[in-house]
Amino acid sequence: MAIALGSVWIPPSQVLSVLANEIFGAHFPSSSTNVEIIWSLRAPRVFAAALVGAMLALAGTALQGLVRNPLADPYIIGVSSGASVGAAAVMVLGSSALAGLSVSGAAFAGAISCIILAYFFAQKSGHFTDSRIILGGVAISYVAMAITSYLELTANPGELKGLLFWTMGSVAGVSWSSLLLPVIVLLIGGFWLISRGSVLNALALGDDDAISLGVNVKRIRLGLLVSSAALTALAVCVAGGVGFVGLIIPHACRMIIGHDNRKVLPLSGLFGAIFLVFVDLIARTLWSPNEFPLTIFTAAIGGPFFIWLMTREKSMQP
Amino acid sequence: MKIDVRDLSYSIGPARIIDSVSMHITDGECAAIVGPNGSGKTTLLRLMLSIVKASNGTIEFDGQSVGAYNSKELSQLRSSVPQSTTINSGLTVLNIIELAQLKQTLLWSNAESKKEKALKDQAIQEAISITGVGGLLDRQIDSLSGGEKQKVLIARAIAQNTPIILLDEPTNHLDPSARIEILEIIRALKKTRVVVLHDLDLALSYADRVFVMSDGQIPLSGRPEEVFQMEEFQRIFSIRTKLVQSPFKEGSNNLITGKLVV
Repeated sequence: MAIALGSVWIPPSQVLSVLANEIFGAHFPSSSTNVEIIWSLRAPRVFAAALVGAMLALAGTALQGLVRNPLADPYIIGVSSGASVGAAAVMVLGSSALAGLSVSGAAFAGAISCIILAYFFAQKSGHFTDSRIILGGVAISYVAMAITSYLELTANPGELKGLLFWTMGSVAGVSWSSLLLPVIVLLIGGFWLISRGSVLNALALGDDDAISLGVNVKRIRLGLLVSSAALTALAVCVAGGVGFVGLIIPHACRMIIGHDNRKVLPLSGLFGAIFLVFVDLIARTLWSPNEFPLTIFTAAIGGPFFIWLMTREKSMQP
Repeated sequence: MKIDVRDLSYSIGPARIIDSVSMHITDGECAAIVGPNGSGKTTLLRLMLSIVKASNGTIEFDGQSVGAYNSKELSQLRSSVPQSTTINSGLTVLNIIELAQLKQTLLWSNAESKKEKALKDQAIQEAISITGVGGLLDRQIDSLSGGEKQKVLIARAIAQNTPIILLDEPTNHLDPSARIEILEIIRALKKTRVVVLHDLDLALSYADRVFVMSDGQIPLSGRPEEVFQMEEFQRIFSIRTKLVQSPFKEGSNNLITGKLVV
């Protein structure tokens, strides 16, 4: 349905025909313009929006469990700030200045270096603590933001607009080929996380309790950090800095089905995907043929929706 | 299952929190650890749970050092009842009790036989019925009273089906009837139990043996009715003590405590 809507309306039957032709090799009649719009433009971006939404929501759920802080979001470990430095550097200095890296390649490199730094600073006598990973991430984020701001000041207006658009997230112009790695990471990371629902429940009760229940806390923390960092870094590469999804979707899921992470993890992945497809649809149709960046709408729609959920939850509890 | 602690020490920086402690707890015994605040009781329990690692000495379950077990094996040997105030999460009572069988509930562990699954469910059902928390299963843990929370945590420990159960001040913040109820449940368990207790009178009534901690050491241990009358015991706690015949139960004693007169 989201593929059908856009600056040009294409009937759902046509959409299904084209998708069936491309995916299953069927031979339904279809016009070549429609094939171009659907298969090369809209389908990959709808798919990318679902992918990014699922990745960010899963990473957010995992990180909130890891640091036991409801305000944690996937960017708390410095991922997006690091990615912004990389992206800004390519956009402003040109890709030749960075060994020919593309925007998303540089964003990925920036994201990964920030995660490694945050992890390194969070270490204390051989293992990392909740508060240190947050503090390390925040400190690195500020340094990265300073560099990004400097790059922004030296940018010309055109570059600046592109950069702003990138930091607020967009799935415009994604191609199928750029989605392969993110899909693989989502499948592996998502499956690993979802299978750790009970362990996340145990961690919610505190490290001491989790250890007495038989959790290898050190190993699971590292696994949670690595998987959510990988999910977030690749999501940022695909869509830039899409805000709000990783923070709010996990909470929304908890308000709907409770705190059992065995249910929250898969549901937040699903909700994140649906939510971002919906947001992207609005971002590209509201002011068509122009586009808005995604974060404007994740926040503008997500915020009121979340407040509605909060009031609903309040009224349900006598 | 018996527990042997040998020459156990634990330091944080220059501070020695546990200082050359040795204790031997026999199979099925209910051992109480008592001592003034800050004497190292909770740390000793955390060492026994392998939450922290000893600087020196060993802890053995049935002659095998705890260091030789991995986290899964340990979870089948000992369970823990933490202080209920530490449990805060939006999980329901059932979610929390189910964590007792955590290691077996990974997504791809479908290989387990139906018989194993039934046994696990049975352990959980049994724990629920022993502690009487059946009516609370769908409630959020945060919404329960202190006594109810404590029962849920005991239910979880029972459902873990371990030969050893370690409890940290399970009667703290509870009213008198809830204290007795909790300790009656603990007394009826056919397990080796180590209970950190603040209430000396309860230790007298429910423990087979007490270990008295003071400044990270265990200078006294033995049957509570003997230990509690010793001069050294009175000095450690800075109190006077007297055992009196219980007005409620033939052949049992109560402990009266008073200010130490120097």
